[in-house]
Amino acid sequence: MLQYAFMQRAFIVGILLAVIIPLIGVVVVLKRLSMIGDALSHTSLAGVALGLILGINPLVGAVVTCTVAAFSIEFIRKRIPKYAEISIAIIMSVGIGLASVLSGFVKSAADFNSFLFGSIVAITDGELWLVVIVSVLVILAFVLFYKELMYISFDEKSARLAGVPVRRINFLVTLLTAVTVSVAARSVGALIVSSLMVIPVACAMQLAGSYKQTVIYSVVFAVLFTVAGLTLSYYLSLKPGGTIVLIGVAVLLPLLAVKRQ
Amino acid sequence: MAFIEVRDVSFGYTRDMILENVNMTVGDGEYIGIIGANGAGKSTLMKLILGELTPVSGEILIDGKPVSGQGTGHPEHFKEYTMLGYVPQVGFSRVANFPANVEEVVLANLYSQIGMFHLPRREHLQQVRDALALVGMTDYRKRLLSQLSGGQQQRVLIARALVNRPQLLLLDEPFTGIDEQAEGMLYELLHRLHTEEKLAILMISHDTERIARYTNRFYHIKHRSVHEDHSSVYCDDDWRERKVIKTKSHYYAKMRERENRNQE
Repeated sequence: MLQYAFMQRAFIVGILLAVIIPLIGVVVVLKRLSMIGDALSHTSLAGVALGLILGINPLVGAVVTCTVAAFSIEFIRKRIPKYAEISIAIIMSVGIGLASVLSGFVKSAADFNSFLFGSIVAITDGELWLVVIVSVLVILAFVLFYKELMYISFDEKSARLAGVPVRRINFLVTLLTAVTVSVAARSVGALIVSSLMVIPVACAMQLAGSYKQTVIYSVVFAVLFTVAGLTLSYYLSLKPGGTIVLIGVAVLLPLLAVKRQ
Repeated sequence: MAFIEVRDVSFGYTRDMILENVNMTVGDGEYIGIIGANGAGKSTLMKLILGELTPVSGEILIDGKPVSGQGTGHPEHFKEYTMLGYVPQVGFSRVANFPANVEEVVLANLYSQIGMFHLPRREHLQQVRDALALVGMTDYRKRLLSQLSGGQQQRVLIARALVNRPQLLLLDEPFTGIDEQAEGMLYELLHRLHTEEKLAILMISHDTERIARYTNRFYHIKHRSVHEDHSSVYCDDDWRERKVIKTKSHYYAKMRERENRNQE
């Protein structure tokens, strides 16, 4: 399977995304914003449609709308702090509405579908480099701001009192989340990004004995799911994105069952 | 010299004042309580001291310096405020289920000492151990926060506040949702920190009896319901009613008065 260039590329992209999506995931899950991936990926679809209509690269459209959406969520979240979920629901509605209306104007349905479910085996050179660059940025940010990210997820108020530049770090997280989601939507599919953001973290939380372990296990789980999913989808001719997510769920359920006893 | 000084501070919104002309001090090494009914403005006072809210008038001095940049939402001046240790409520807090172990939670508060882009050094880990020893939680260093009882979690949060070796500990209704026995032990712990470590403590509570027993002095915030005040025109008497501050001796005099009346 690995003698094919397209599969090599799929594995490189898949593994890189499997490292960065759960890194973002740890932060959003612990900030109780698990659904943010959903909201952003749906909004990124609106951006894809817009890009296809305007004749610009749909990925650029996705990154732009996603970033706007992510900052809108932060904006609304600050105004309704006790019900952070509401901000996500609002933006998700806007995203779905826009995506469905705009998709009506898209001439080539195939292009649009490739963003819905991803096309990790049809990735161009340009997209490969984009994933590499985004991955380096996310990993760097996560390593450099490890302490800050942990403290902000733990308790924003105490973090602020301890001198953590909360606003700037939140800005960084929002930006990286938006870029990661829109870039990942192209390869694993908009509908699947948020599962990859949440399921590995949920698995890790069943086993971890510390924050550090939660982070490491999340990445390990995501990489395992991705490698297994890609391999399985190659030999059984399944859709890769969906296969990866289903494997994740298949691992999570027994973990939850064991934990309950 | 007073460590915290609240001078003629008023706070509220256009029509409803929550606090008016509040004056209070916390001296070095003093154990001070603040009591009052729910919604009387106790937590508002704490937020003012922490710089989360800006007073409408008056000022708050900490260690002789005014709390600067208040209400900006990101009081970066708090970097210099490692002399304050803040202990939040744990009862309803989501932090209780956060997947971090005790050591990580306490270490996080050394942020300003460790510094951005730096790893914690050996002395930082030693500081964490010292703080945990003070609250009797040394053996739980590697436990997840969620595996501890409410009282133990609160001890960890106290250790977290102590890790910077502050001069003053601020506690906002710290024992909400903790069982009676654990609460008693926590009051004993604070008493010990106050007497043995010479730590100043400012604690908000609705447990008047314990506050009266343990603190050096305490303030009573009195409040009239906001609804009642809508129609009435403020007059001086109203203001005095809402004004804080009765001394401990005043409280004891009241208690004796009541007891005497009962005996008669």
